[in-house]
Amino acid sequence: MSQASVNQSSMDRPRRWDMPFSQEAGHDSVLTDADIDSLLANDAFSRIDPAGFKRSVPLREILRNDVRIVDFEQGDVIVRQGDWGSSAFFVLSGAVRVELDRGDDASSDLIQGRQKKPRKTFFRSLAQLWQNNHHAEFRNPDAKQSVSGNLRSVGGVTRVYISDVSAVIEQHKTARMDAGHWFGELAALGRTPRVATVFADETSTLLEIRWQGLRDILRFDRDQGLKKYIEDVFRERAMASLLRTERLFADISDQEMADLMPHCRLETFGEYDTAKPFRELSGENAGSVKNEPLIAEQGDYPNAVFLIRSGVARLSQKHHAGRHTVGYLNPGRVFGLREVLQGFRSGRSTGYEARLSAIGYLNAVVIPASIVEDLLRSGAISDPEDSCRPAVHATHDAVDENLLNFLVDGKYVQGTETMVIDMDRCTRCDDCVRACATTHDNNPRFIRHGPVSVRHMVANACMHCLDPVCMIECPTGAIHRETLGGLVLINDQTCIGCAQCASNCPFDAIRMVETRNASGAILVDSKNAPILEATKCDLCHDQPGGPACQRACPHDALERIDLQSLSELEGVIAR
Amino acid sequence: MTHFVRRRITGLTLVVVLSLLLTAATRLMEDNLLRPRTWLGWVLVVIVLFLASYRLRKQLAMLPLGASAAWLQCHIYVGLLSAPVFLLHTGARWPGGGIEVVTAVLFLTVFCTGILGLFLTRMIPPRLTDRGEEVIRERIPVFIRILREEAEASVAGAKNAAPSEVLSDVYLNHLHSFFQRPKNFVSHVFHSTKPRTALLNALDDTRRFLNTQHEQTMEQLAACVRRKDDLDYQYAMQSLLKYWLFLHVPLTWGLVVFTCSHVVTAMAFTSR
Ligand code: SF4
Ligand code: SF4
Ligand code: SF4
Repeated sequence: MSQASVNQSSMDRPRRWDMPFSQEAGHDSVLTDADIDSLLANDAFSRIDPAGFKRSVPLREILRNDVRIVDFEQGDVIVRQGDWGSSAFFVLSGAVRVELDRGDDASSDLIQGRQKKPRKTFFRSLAQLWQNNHHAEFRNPDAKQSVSGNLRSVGGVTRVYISDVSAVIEQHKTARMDAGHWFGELAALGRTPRVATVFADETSTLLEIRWQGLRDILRFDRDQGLKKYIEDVFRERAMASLLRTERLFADISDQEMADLMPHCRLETFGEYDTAKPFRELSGENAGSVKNEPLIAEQGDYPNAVFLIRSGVARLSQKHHAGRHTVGYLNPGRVFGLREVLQGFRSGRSTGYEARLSAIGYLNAVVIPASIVEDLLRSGAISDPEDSCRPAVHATHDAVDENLLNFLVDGKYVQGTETMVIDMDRCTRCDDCVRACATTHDNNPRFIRHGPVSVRHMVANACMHCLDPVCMIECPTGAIHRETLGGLVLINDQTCIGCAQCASNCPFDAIRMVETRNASGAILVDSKNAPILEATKCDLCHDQPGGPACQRACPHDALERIDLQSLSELEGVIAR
Repeated sequence: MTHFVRRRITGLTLVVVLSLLLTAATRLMEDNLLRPRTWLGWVLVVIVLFLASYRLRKQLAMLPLGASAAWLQCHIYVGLLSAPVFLLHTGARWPGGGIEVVTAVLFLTVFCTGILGLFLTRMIPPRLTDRGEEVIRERIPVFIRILREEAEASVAGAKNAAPSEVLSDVYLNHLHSFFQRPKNFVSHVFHSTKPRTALLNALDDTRRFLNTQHEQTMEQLAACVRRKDDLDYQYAMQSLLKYWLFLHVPLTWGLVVFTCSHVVTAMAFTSR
């Protein structure tokens, strides 16, 4: 890098398509005009009307920049169950297989790069005292080799492959998908986990599209063919169970549900490009409600109810010239129902109580208010006297507006196990850090440091986020969720040290460490480069007593808190 | 009433009630010509061993031995209870014999350092939170170095401007040693802001000799002084929170050793 370029003080503003999908890390094919023409002629896109697209986002450019063509060999794993999706696939040629087994199967775990560690017994925990290697980050190189036998490198990308496809087909329930099928679109749009593992059944060519491209096609395609297809798939597979999570719709009959679903829309809001903009959002732009994509405006006629499928939304109310945050909504929470019910009861409509805006990105089911009213009128659903879950959290005494803003602006509300330290009680003794090191290869998995709001610090420890962006792009599936919606864990046997997760985590909660052999020497590869591995808090899932840091804090200062609602935090503050 | 207040009241009430019960039991035994001191001695041995075992709990973080916070609560209130038991055991008189005197001295110092620790761990954290940025103690020397470089760079002056001689003198005479390492430990422990005020005054006194640009430099230096002083404060207070344990813990092990010796000699004496 030249001296001049390091010192230059201005640069071109980075734009969405600076780096086409086909040239992202490890891929270097460029889509030519001929490729795009042939794609446009393909079933996947032939019915899309290019005239409906904005001039700044034409269909051709979406295909050129948000799509890549990827070849897979037989047995290559394309997506793994539990991975966080950010792209969808279309089979151009060849065929893939979807693993339909969802059981706790060991061979399936190997394919997926997962690892199940049983909880240690009391005596095995005690044995750590003399059995653990006293060097930090000791790893047994043999254990690693046995798994890396199932990895292959294609271009710059590492892939896991199944060496014996026929055995997997014999032992597991699978379904074949031939050319002309989409898969992975629901996970991509909703930023939800993949529900099944898919691998190449034969040499195949797949089209992979970033979720942003898919979103724009759904938005601008006048024919709405793809949108209809995806919504139908969603309705068929997931919408009923999602709607039933809302108390109001929990008990309606299957027929009524079938009547309701065609009126509901699946919508995405926000400009959530992989993890990087999220990082920026949690950095400089933190706190700017103004920059957040608007979903519903305070005071507007409540013409829809929003049921959040993924992402986090901010609730804010107008206050003089600005706005103050009055709460946030996580997946499974509804917005607007209270207002619709109030309007139904009184016969007079009241506007939305607060503004709903997406914190980065949001996927929601939109239920038209008129449908809810029809259902109420017909008696299919009954008006709950307590008005369902309140849309707006009253800023409770314990969690004042300052703290609420801090949590929402910093995106800590993503956390299901956020480490919060009460600095008025913390004696900085580091017992928590020592306990973490004792239970984790003599190296603590967190830093007792982080942003502070008045007296509460959110420490630099993995929060086991609701939407763990760190899981996107892991080539081996080593970073995974223990169960759907559960802890985010790293399998040290399949981690290849590529650092994708560490650079994606917006909270810098993942650290790359140099691994060592039994005598304490740093493990290196054939080129003498150190073998790195990603490490982070695993919530002591294999320790018999649970989080060692929390148990080790003598002063009740450190707590792991689920911020999906404020009640746990309120309980801790009010102690 | 919050959970912590309720917990404190319950703990203290238990200590008072148990102390009264033990006193009554001692009186009763004495009235019946029994030997309560021996019995109280054994109670004290159990208490000392229990209090010392908290250290082991800390070492065995991997075992499900209950939360350290619960242990600490027991440690505090059992520790408080140990004082009346000690007084009843010794009859509130200074013991004779070498081992007994050392054991008693150790007990009292461990008890006092415990009370001191309790006081420090409750008083210091909110003060640390209130003053300056939150820093890890081990990182403070690094931050001091960064501040020193910043201060020296501002004294050296901007690229095209000559440095101010007045400011250079003040830096050499007052600030150079201040920016070398953590300073003013004792003042910070006693919450005195005298050294900080003195340095800021020395800087402010130069104002009448400075042009506008150098005045700005002086303001930057003053800001560095304030930040360094906050770091010193963090360093002093965090050190205090660590150092009291260097007294309390080794003395506790000494107490355990001497308690055992005292038990052996006492038993040998009574069996004779
Ligand atoms: S590693 Fe980061 S993004 Fe992933 S779950 Fe933990 S805190 Fe969230
Ligand atoms: S839960 Fe366990 S792994 Fe996570 S920070 Fe605490 S001690 Fe470390
Ligand atoms: S153990 Fe508790 S008191 Fe000690 S440093 Fe950790 S959080 Fe603070």
